[in-house]
Amino acid sequence: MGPTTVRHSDEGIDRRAASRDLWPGGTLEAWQGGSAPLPDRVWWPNDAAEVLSVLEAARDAGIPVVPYGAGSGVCGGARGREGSWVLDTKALQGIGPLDEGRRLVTVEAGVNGQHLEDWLRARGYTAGHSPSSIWCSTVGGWAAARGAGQFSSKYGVFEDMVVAMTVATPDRGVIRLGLGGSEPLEWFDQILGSEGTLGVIVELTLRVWPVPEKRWLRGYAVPDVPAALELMRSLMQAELWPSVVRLYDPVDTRIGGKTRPKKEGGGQGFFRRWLSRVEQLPAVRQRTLALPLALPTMVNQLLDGVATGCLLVVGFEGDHEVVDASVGVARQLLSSAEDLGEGPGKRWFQSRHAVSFKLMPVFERGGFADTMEVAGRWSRLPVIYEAVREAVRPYAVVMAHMSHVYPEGGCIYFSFAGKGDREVYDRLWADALEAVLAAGGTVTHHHGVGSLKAQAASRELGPAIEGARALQDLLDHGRVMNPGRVLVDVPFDDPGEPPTLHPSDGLVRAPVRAGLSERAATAATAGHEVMWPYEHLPAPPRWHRAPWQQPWVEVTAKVDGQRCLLGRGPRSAAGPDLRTWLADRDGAEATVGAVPRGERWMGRATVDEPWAVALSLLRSDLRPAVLDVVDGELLVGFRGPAADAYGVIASRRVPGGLTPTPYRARPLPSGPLCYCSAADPDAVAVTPIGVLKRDV
Amino acid sequence: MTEFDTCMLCPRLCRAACPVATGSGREAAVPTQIAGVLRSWRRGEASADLARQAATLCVDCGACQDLCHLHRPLPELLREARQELCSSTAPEPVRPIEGEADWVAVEFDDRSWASALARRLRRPMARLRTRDGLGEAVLATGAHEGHFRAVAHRLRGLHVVVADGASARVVAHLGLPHSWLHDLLGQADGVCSCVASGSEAPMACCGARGPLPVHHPDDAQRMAAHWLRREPGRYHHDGRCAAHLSAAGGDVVDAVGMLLEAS
Repeated sequence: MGPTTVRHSDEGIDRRAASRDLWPGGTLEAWQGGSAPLPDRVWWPNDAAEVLSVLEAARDAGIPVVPYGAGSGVCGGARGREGSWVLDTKALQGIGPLDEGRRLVTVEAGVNGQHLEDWLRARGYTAGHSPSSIWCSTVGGWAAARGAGQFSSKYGVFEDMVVAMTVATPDRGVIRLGLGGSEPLEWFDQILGSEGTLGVIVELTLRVWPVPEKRWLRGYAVPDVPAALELMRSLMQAELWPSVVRLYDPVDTRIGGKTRPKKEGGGQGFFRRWLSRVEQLPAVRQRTLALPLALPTMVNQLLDGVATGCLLVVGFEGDHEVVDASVGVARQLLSSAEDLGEGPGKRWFQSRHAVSFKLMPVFERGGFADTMEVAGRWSRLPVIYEAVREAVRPYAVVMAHMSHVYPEGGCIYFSFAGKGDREVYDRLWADALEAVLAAGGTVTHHHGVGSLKAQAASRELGPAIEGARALQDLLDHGRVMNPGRVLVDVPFDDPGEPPTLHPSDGLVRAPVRAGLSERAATAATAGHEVMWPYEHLPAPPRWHRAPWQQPWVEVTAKVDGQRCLLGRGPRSAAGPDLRTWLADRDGAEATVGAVPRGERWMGRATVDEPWAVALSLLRSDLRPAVLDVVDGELLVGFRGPAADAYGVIASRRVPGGLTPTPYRARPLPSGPLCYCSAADPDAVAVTPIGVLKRDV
Repeated sequence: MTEFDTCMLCPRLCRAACPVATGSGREAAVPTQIAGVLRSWRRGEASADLARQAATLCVDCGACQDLCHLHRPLPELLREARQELCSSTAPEPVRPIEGEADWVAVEFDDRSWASALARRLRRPMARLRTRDGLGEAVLATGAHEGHFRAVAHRLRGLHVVVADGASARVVAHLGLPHSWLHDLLGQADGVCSCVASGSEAPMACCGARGPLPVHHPDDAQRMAAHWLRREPGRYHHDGRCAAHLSAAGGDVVDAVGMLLEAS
C-alpha cells in the first residue's frame, strides 16, 4: 500500500527505531522492559512531492501518519502508534542556498541542527539557535515544536528565525507560507507548533547572523531567586539584548557546583572518588540513588537547608563595540550581585551541551529524571516557581534554572529526579501541570506539547481550539496527521477576567482594535511608552518585523460566549499560536510591551539613501527603538540606560555622523508590506532582511 | 545490566557525529538505537538476526565515542558483538612482493602505480598487490592471526607506501613504518575521513569502510551520495573512498589517480 517508488521499510529494525522518541516516560517503560507500539511502515521521502504522495495515500487509506525527525521530543509527540506510518524526514537533507544579501538560508527539514550550524559557520554565519538538543534534533522539529536555543534572549526563539516554510498537507497539497508565500498569514503561526498535526514541514527559510566578533560571559552570585529575577528583569527591560541570561536556583547551583571552577586535571573529592569506585559493582550501581530518590520530600528539605544563593550567568555577543557598550551598562545594573568573574560563564559555555548526558545515570540507578519548562509574565514567575516546586516535592527531588528571558517575562525550567513506576511519574506530571495553570503560567515554553501535555495545553487554549480545528478541516480533514497529539477534547477552564498586570511586567493592555494613540495613552497613564508602536494590531507578520519586535503577548476574547486567554507567558509553545485568530473576535484585548519613560537618545542625519544606511545600522548589531526616515532625513533613537552609548556607536557608523535631536517615538507600519529596494521612494520601514514599502 | 545500558538510555546525542545515521537517514542506524537492540538481544528480548542487522549498521569510524562525554566505548562493544553475530570469510592469501627495494607500494586495485612513484621519488620501489586491503575486513575479529603474521613477515624491514584506508589500517595495526601516498606527493588539502578520523564535516566516513558496505550496501551508497552533496571536492586522499564515491556517481580522483595523471 502506498507509493512504492518512495523509499520505505517494513522491517522490524526500522519500525522499532521509529517507535520511541525521547519522552522520559517512554524511556522509563523501555528501561523496565516495556515496548512502545510499533508503526506498520517507515517512509523516507526525498522531496516535497514524495512527502505529499505518502500523505495522500495515508489519507485515502485512513492510516495515521507520525512525522519523525530525530525523535528528540520529550513530550511523546513522535511516539509510535500501532497501525500507523512513520514519515521520517531525514532523507530531506538539502542545505542552501545562503542568501547573504538578505541574510537568509534555505534548509530542508531533516537536516541535523549541528550540521546546519557547522555549514553556516564554515561560511561565516550562525543561525543563533543553540538548543541543548542541537546534536540530536532536526531543523524541521525545531519549527514543528517551536523550540528555543540557549541564546534566545538575543536571537529569539526558533519561530522568530523562520520566515518561510514549505509544508505538505493531505488536503491542500504542498503549500508555501511566509515570505514569498500566498497562503493566509495566520496559517504560518498555526503550523509552527502544530507538531505534525496539520502537515509535514519540508523546507524552511531562516534568518542567519554573522558569527559574533566578540563573546563576553560572566557569573554573578545572587542571594535568592526573587532578587535574581529582579536583576534579570532589569537587564531585559533595559533593551541591552544580552545573548545569555541564565539563573540557577539554589538547589541547582549547589548540586551543580556551578560557582566553583573545575579542578585542574578533573580531580575529584574523596566522596566522589569513593562513590565512583563503589559504583563499579553493578549491584551497588543500580541502588546508589534508591534511598535519596525514595524520600524526595526529606531530600528536598535537606537541600533547601544547605543550598543558599543562586548563580546568574550573563553573556553578550556580537559586534565588539556594541558588546562593550552593553557590558558597561549591564555591570552597573548587576552591581548589587557578587561578581564571580569569567569562570562560571566559561564553564557553562564549554559544557552547554553536556547536560543531556546527565540523565542516563539516574535511570541506571533505578530512578527517573525529567524536565518541565513553563513560562509566565515577570510578576507571575516567583508564584509559578514556588507552586511547581511544591507540587513536585512529594514525588521527586526538584531544582530549576531560567535560561530564556525576554522584556515581557521568561521561562522556568524544572529538572526533577524521582523513583517509581509510570503511575508515580504520571501523578507527578498531572500535579505539576495543574500547579502551573493555577499559578497563571503557560504549560510549555519550548519542548512542545506532544501527548504528555496535550490535555493541559488544550485546557490552556480553551475554546480557541475551534480555530485550530478549522484549519485542520482545511488541511487534514480526515485527521490522519499525528492524531491525539497537541490538541485533545477536554472541558474548558474559565480563565476568569483578564489578569491584573503588575508594573514590573512591562506590559499594558488595550483593545486589539484600539489605534496606536489609544495604546500610547494607556501606556502613558502608567508612565510608559509602547515598546513597538505598530499603527494597528495585528502587527505585520514576523517576516516583516525584526525578530525582537514582539507586537503582543497575551490576547483575550470570548469565543461562543466563553472566555479565552492565550499567551500566558512569553513565546509560549503551547501548540499552534492562535492569537491572531482570537484577536479577530469581538472585544478582543491584547497586552503589548511597554517601557518606562527614562533615558533616551536620538540623532538625525541627511545622507544619501537613508534606508540603506538604516539597514546597515540594523545589521551591525544595533537595535534602535526608532529607525525611520522622515522627509528624507534619517532618524535613529535608542531607549534605556545604554541609549547614549549606542547613540555614539550609531553616530560613528552613519556617514557624516548623527546630530542629536529631541527623542520622539515613531509609529511602525502595519498592514500589507513588501520588500523593496533601499532606494525606493516609497520605503517605510526596515528589518534585517531588507527595506519595506506598503504593498498596495 | 548489560554493557549497552548507558548508550540505550542516552538521548541519541552521538547521532550528529555518526556518518551512517546521517548518510542513510535511518533511525535504526543511530548508535544509541543500535545499542538498544543489542541490549534487548543480551537480555533475550531480541533475535540474533535483528542484532546482526543492527550491529552491522556501522563503519567502525569511532566518531560516536569521540563525541560522547561519557567516553562510552561503543565501537569496541559493537566489534565484540559482531564477532559473536557475524561469520567472517577468510582473507585473501598474502601475495609475494614484486621487485626488490627498501620501499614497497601497496597496490589495492587494478592500477599499477609503484613504477610511477619510483620515478617521482627517484628511488626503487617494489609492489605488493592486494584486492582486500590486506584482509582489513577481518582485522577486528581477532581471528586469522596467521594471515596478519604473514603480512607482517612479508613487509618487515620495508617502508610501506599506502594509498587506501584498508591497507593503511592493517599496516598501522601491525606497527610497520609507512607513509601515505598523498603525503609523498605533497597533496595536503584533500579530504579523507579514514586519514583524519573523527566527526569532521561533512561526515566521518563516506560509507566505504567497516561492515556496512558488506551488510547494507544500499545504505553505504546513500552515505556516498550524501557525502558528494555536502562535499563537492574532487580530490580524495584515500583510494578506497574514491572508488566508493565513484561508484555512487561522483567525479572524484585519489592520490593514485593524481600520480598517474601527472606521469
